[in-house]
Amino acid sequence: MELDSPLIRISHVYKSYGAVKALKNFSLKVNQGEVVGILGPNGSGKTSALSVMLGVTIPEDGEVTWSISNKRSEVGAMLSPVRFYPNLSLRENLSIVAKLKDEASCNISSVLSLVNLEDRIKNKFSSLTPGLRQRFGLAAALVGNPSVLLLDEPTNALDPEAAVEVRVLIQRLHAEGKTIVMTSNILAEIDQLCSHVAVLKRGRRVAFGTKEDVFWSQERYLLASSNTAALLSVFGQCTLLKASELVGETLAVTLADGVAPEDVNRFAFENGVTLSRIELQHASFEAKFINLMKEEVLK
Amino acid sequence: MRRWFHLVGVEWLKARSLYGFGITITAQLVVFLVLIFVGANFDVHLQGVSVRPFFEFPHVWETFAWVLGWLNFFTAIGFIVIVGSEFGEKTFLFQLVSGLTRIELVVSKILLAFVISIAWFLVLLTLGFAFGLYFSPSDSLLPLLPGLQVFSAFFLRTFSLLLVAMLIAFILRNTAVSILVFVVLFSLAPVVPSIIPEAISWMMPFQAMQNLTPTPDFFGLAVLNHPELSALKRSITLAPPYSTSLWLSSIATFVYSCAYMIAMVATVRRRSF
Repeated sequence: MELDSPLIRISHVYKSYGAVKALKNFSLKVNQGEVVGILGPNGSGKTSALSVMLGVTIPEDGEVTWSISNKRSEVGAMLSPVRFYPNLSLRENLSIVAKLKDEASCNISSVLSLVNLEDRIKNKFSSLTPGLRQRFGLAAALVGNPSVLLLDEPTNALDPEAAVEVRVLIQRLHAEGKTIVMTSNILAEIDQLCSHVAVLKRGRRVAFGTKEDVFWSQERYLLASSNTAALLSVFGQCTLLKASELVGETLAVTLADGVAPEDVNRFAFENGVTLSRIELQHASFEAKFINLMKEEVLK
Repeated sequence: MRRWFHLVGVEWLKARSLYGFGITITAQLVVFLVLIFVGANFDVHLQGVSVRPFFEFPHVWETFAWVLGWLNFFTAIGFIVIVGSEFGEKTFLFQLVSGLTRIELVVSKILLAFVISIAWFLVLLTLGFAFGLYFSPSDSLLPLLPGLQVFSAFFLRTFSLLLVAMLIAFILRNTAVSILVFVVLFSLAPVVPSIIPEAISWMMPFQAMQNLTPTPDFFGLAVLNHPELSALKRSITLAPPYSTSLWLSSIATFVYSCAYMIAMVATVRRRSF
């Protein structure tokens, strides 16, 4: 593996399915040991992004490069919906995966035990419920103990208990030093598991960075003054702000990059407005995400 | 090399889990057995006319290769089922995700076709040998084996037909539509010589394939022991079993087979799964 180069680099990828543009100028860098979450609403291109990374979907333009030599044994992946041979048992399906990965000596029972499916080893794949299929997909991704995992909505269709187990497993895998790229619709899951986040909207990346970068930069401050009209006038065209919105008697603002609340207070004072309140609005994770979706900030 | 063995093993495991494939292989074997057993017991009530020479050495090889050559239609349908179900179940995607390359994806199917062709070749060899031994007069067991061409021709015909079937399925990605197209092509093949000059028709894909195991001269063989007709037909039985076009048909079929394989790789190489 080359030092100083990302493990996966996706550069300016475009992919369409007919008239639907799944990915538009999508770029991403994944470094070793990171857990990158790809977040976005349904149809935003999350699965397409993983498919392009894996090479199963060929982009119309752009490039995907990996800096590992043996992708076959080093990468494990699970794409949703999870598909395997319906008439074969779990053992047979996993033995196929093991052979394809050149890991024929892999202990299939122990892999299944990671997702609590060892007692169903003889069951046919077609007999599994959607939740069990999801867990089996995760087991298949873990065959051969790969160092990189690409997981498409790993807790989708799981009951709450199983979802917690899978999240704990992902945290454990991260602690073992594995690089993980995962997609999810569940904001709390991304918040809990990921070190980095890429937010997709209609195939376009609208934010990417560390979790803190992406979501702290979306924090809003509530500004209040006894003279609301003056407040609006002063901050109407202010370059210190990225966005502003009147909420009742207060002005909800998003600060521009590098601007601190003190700068805003000073600016208001210099322009003859005394702020009676500067309050950090503790928006929910969901609210921040929705705000991102509205703003379409291309970072 | 070990990986290729693994891939064939994986293909076989998948194939045998498909009911459609099992049914087609079983159908071919059953129909073949029924035809040869019924044919061997067919009694013609005419002095000197008999079906026995069909099953005597060396004619048994031609007879069986011709019959089994046509029945390969069933196995070809089985291969369409294999490829079509991979698209239908989206299992190609799972294999690519699990580390299979696009070229391996095609080559593993080609290897399975190769193995199945060998299996049918062994069926031909075993049953042909058994029937030949049983029906041939003890003083005329030689020539027990024909030239190697009957086996190589049968193998090439089988393999090529399976490649055509798979190519259609790789292009169309739908089992039902692929079977329909294959049946139409297979049905039209015998009509081709009547609408296209023979100088050209022999090199058409299906025609070249069929020329590899040509229709035996059943009438000539049937009257082989007829006191009057046999003299007239002796020249037929003494003639070599193949016309010189066998080699041209072999070359044409081989070239077509290579083209089918290249076309399959090209189809898969730029396809998103």
